Amino acid sequence: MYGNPQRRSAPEVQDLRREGGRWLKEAREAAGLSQRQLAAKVGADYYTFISQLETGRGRIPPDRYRDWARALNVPERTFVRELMRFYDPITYDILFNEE
Amino acid sequence: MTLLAWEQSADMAAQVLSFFQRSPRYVPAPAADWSQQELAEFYRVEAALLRAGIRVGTDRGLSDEKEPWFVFYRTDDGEVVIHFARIDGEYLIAGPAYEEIARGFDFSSMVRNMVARHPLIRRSDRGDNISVHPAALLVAVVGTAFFKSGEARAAESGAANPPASHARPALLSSSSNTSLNGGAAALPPVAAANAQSAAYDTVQLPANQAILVLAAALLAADFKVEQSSLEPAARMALAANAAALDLGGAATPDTTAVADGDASTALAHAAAAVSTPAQTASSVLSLVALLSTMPSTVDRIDPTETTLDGAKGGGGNGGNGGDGTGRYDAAVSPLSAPSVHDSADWVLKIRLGAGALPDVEAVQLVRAVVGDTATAQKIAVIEVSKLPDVLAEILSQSTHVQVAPVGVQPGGQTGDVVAAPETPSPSAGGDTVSPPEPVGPQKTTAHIDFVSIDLVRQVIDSFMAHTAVVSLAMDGSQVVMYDARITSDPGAITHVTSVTFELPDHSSINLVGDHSAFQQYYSFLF
Repeated sequence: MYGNPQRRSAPEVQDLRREGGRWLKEAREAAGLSQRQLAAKVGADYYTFISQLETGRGRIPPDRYRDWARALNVPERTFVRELMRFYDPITYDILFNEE
Repeated sequence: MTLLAWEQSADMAAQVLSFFQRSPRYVPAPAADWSQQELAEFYRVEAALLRAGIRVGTDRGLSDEKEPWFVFYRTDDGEVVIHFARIDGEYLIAGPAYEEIARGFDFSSMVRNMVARHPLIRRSDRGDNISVHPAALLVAVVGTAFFKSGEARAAESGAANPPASHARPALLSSSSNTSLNGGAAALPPVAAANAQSAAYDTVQLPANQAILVLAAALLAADFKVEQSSLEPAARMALAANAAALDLGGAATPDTTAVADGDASTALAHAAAAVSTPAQTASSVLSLVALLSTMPSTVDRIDPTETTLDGAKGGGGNGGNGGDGTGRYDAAVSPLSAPSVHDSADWVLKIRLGAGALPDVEAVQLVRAVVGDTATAQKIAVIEVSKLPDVLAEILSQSTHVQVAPVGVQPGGQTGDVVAAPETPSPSAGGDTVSPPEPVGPQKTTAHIDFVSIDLVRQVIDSFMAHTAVVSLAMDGSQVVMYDARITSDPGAITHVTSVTFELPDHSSINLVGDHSAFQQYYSFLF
């Protein structure tokens, strides 16, 4: 399990996760994949995990980022950067929100 | 002592749920959401875990193929700890705490197998068939997932900034850095402040909640259930607790309990497993049962007053739980047995080692003080993992009395059973061994082959009633209740007296105090 505590309230974190889930769903649909197909491409053992992620529950394990990016036809850096926005907003702000 | 724990298990196993099952030949119909029964089972688990103080949340949904999933997640960080799904008609259980993914058509057997592979407490190597309540097993599965996935972090958050009205720390949580996952954890401020005085964590929860997890762990340990040897008051207390967990206590015939509920089988089993953690845990549960029948004071201990005061003792212990230095304390507070005592106020603390599999290392008993009256009876909190030397020396010269195993009758082949000098309370269940004609106090030790558990209880009651401050220690399966002055002010005791009740499962209860504390039983026992 990857711990990634955020100094935000639980609702805030969950809102971001939901937003991230919606983004993943859009990316999957844009790639023309069903949840089962995506699960097979990213090596997920059970495709309901994809559904779970798309509702904003849980996170993609970092060691699967590349697989996901390839499966969704999204550049790796773009994919990780977008995920970071939802999963690790503090780091994202530091790295990308230049004043 | 152990038999009462078996009975707890029996109570929990008393109600059979059909659970959800499908035939292996099941041809998936058009995918559907969870049935009401399935959801009820999940929410039953959620409720039980919430009652146990575990900060659990649930979520569910349907895949794009309309197949259902259900997850339990940690409410502190939202991380999913276990995922259930039904895919192509087959059930699936997966979570980071479990290395493998369980799949199958029979959910009940899946859960059973998962518990067997991931017991909270080491299971017996005897290969006995497990036969326990499936709902308890599901609780064990999900509870284990939480335990293994780092409940420590949740506890730390709560300990560092606990809401004033909230004092329901999680069972088996820990700020220890020797969590099962080996994750390094920061020392919470409160814990750090106490690090010098406490080398382990303390959490508290009501008895029924502790019993839930302990019982689940016990059940997971694959021990048989012995049904016939329940002390009635303990049955009531434990049944009440089990009922509160929705896990048993109903009048439904128990078809899951082991077929050979023979006491001798259980005893033989207990004896064989005497040194195992599960055995110790069962003794702890038995102690809960025993204590539930004791008199209580007026005031309750307020669990909210006890902080998460423990902490892993600082640096140098950055191992992965294998060094045995970490501790989890589960405290039972108060022992809720409304049908026995309305104002029960016992607190039982159980220290679990934080190795790969938890070991029960010590038990503490705390009893509320009535107001601040100096003469009020109380049991002080002690924190020991081994007996003080002075106690060990006294105990080495203790008078030993065997407690009758269940099933041994007066005049039986193994010897006479000696009951209390005063007629004990009627025993509705009739399971407690006592002769029909109580033997008077003229009986001497030399003549005693066995005493009944009733007598033990009466002697303990009397001892406690005549001892201002009773401390309690546990060393393995040896429980010692002693006059606190023995360690704090030994000169105040004029005549140190000790008696050791040896229980059939090779555990023991030792009483050590001034001879006056034994009063009416003195000539009887010594």
